[in-house]
Amino acid sequence: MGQKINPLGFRLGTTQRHHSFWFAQPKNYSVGLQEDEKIRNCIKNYVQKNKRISSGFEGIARIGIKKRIDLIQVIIHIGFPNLLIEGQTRGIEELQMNVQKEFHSVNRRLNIAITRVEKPYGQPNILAEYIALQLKNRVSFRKAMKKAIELAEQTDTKGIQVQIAGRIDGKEIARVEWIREGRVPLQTICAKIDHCSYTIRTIYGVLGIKIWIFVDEE
Amino acid sequence: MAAAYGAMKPAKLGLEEPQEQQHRIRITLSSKNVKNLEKVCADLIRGAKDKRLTVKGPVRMPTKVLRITTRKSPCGEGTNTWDTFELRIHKRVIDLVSSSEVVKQITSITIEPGVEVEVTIAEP
Repeated sequence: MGQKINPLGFRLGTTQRHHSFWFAQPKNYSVGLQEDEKIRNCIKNYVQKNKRISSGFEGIARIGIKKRIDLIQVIIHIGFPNLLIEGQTRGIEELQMNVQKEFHSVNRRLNIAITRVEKPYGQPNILAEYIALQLKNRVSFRKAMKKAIELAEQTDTKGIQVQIAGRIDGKEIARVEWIREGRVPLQTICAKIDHCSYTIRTIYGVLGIKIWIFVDEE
Repeated sequence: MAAAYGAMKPAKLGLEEPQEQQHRIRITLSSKNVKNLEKVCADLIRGAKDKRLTVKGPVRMPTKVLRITTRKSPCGEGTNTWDTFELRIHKRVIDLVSSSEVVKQITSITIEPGVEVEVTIAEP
């Protein structure tokens, strides 16, 4: 689609904060960015590898990275923290070891903290993963979308919009389907809107899921 | 004569002042966001004033705006609309006259994420 700007980027100055919060001179900026990318990928792969089959999906809402001179602080906002805490904090330490192995840098200590997100279904990332799971299990897409919206409505959101694009139901002709509940004012900058775009790979191709959640208005 | 003069001075200085030599120290703070930067600045200056050092207050350098201007379109079609992304770098400079140990104490207390602190010692 050509016209809609990403609502997170649109609101960066006002209602939206950066997820990575650090400073580097322009000379060293790319190194910092690559570190960030490595940390994020490492964490996602680890959670995906070790998830238990029963709980189903990961539920990482956000990974916040703050860097100081001697310390890198990573805060993982996760919706269902059982996966990592059940192993008696072994999970966190293993994660830390894994991420540090990627690094080869001796100067900076790494600190990983896990925060639990209340109302996990109010976070678009977690909702998107839920829909992805449903679609992988060949549930009808409209049912999956409606169920996701129901889950979100239970957690006091003022509006939600879900969009799925691609070969829906495996049909040859791709299309875009969307459902909206409540109001989602994308043009209002002071409206807190959470957004997520998630891709699923099915046997028919790639489906893109976009979710907008209108949380609050200041 | 110069040698004698030079030989006299350190002896005098050694008597009057404490063992550590006072250096002129320049602390450069740079950051992307102003609030944290001003906070660190204020903390540093307060810490320095508590130790009765001469402080030349925060000198605000002009903000550098790094701009990247790209076409919005993934293909070449349509009216030529452009996005300009910017990164603003704010820089503050604080000058102190003190020994290097005191400076290390002060700078170790206040470290906030997102602010880069550089300390240079100007040899007199």
